[in-house]
Amino acid sequence: MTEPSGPDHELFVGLITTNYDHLRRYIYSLLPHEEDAKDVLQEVCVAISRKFAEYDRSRPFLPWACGFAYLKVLKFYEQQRPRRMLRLPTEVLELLATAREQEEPALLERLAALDRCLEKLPNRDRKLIQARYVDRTPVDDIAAAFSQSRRTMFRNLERIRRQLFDCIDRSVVLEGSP
Amino acid sequence: MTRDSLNELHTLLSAVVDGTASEMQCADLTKRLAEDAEARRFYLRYLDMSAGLMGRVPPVPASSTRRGPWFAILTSSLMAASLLVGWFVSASARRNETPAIDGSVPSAGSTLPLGYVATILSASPTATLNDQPISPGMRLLPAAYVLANGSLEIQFDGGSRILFDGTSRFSLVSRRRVTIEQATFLFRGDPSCETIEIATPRSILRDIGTEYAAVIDGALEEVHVSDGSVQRSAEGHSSPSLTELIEAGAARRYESLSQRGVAIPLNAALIALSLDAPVAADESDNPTAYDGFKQGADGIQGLQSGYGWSGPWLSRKDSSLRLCSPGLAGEGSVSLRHAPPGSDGSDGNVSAAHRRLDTPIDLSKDGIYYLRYLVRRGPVGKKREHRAMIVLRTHGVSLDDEERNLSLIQIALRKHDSALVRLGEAVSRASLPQVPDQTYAVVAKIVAGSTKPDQVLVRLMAIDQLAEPDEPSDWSLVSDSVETDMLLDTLSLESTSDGQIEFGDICIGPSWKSVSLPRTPLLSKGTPQ
Repeated sequence: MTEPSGPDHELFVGLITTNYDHLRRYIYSLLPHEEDAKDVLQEVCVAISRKFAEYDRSRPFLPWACGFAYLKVLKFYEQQRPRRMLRLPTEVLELLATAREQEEPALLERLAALDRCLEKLPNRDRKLIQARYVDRTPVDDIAAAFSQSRRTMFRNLERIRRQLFDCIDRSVVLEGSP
Repeated sequence: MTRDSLNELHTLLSAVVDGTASEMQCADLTKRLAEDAEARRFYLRYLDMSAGLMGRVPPVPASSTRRGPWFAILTSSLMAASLLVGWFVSASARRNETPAIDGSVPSAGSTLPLGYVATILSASPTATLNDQPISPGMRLLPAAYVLANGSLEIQFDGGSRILFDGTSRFSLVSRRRVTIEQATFLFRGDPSCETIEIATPRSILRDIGTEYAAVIDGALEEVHVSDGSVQRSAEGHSSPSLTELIEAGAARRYESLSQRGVAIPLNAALIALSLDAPVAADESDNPTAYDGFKQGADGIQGLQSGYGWSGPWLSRKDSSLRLCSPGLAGEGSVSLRHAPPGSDGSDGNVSAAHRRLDTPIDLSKDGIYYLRYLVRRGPVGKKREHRAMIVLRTHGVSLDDEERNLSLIQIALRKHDSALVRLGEAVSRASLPQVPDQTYAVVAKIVAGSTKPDQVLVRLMAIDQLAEPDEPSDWSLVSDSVETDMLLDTLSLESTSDGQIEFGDICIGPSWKSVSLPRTPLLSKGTPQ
């Protein structure tokens, strides 16, 4: 096991920094629980740092890093009881990982469209999204702040995500049209 | 995929990302993912959007957001100090792009209008925040800040205060979370305040009914607790062995990420930090507009009292508004009374008077305005509505347009026990029991922003509280943060009641002092009328 040193430090930090968000999203898509995904991401970064000497610099970093992430997700499912009910079997994870490779350009395009679509949300909806995703406010607190029951709040979140999803669909189609 | 299938997937995936999916829903989703390539594509797009919402809308720039836990692990267990130093060098380089003081520095990709989370209480005269001079009363958005040349005390909307002493680099992440990269600070909270989580390069600090001071300086961190206790965890470590409770009277130093601290003597000077000679609230203690309704005879129509107005009061001649003395500010003062039907022959339950301001309240530019007035309401009449309302609106806009666009600010006391503030489309209400025939002072603080949101904070108080030298740290009503560019140049007094309502001593100014200091018969003489 060799830890990066000297110029490798900078390269390693640069690559991780550049690809951190991508790795986070990759892991979350296989392990859709924020805290679990965060734990796995930590482990992935540690694993990558330990194996960094083996990284072939002539090849792209992200697929190499995603390989670690995939294995760590499998290990997580094997060793730990996920905090949520969704426990994807290995064969489904494999299908998703493969599909993700093909889907990657579209996902990036959609991510760019997400910003534009957020701008179009009504103020109150943006605030709900902010409370849920940015401030990480506990759901009971959000419900109280918005004078809603938990059920209504979850229904509103579903509605807003659906709006965003549809908006992204439309936006991507428009961008791609001649 | 059919429309129905899409709808079902939306519902399933929404439940998954919200953590509310049932066992049956999870099984259903797993089956679809195993069998249907289209469902897998949909799943990936949905999950990636959810992950994007988490990652793409942070409230502070990437250069100063709290670093992910992976970073702490790397720095501690793998690369130690050299990487840490390297990171700080690069972070410092990025920090050279100093954000503006208005806090409008959300990171690339951030599109949400963020709400204010804290208020500047005071600052030393030479201090600057993000290279801008500091005015007490300014509201702070989630953003990265650099304090230079002095001290600064801020109060979070949850009640806790932090006094930064000397050069400090910190980010307000939310009303309950701060990251501090470099600072000497004193934290003051109590059990009535929201707990604040402070993330530093080495620690996560959580106050528990606490007063404590800390030094965050590169490789060294110290925590000195004078009251309550502080829970300290090593940044990025969830191990209980690296979490400790520092009790009152104790102090600890941390020099390594992965180690527990060592006990050190409590630094009395540190926990007694205070602001010397704080900057005055504002260079101007004078209101821009004032009216005590003097020089009038009976009605309000055509009255040109006070100063800072453009033209006289306008009202219907048959309005139920009458001037009366003594008014709400004591002997010699005059108030404007909405008289109930039957008491003086008028027959309207609704009355209004309007006057244009010399200096409009411009919500398209950065600034703070304070509006203060006195109000007294008699007992609620037979009809339950008993509304005393001040409206700030734009001259020349028809009522229809105003109603459609909600381009106004309303501050109202209603019934016998409630109040509301409207800022554009946002309405906030509160239950505020009021005693009939008691005179109250109402102060509204209007925060205007060019690139940041606007907000209105309202305080209902006894008149003698106006003598307080500093603006209140707690407000009765706080509006949502709303982005508007309204230019409000007209003030209206509107009453809807079959009971009695009186307004008096209306004052608009740029600082708390400008509206709280005695102006007229309220407490002093010689003020222009």
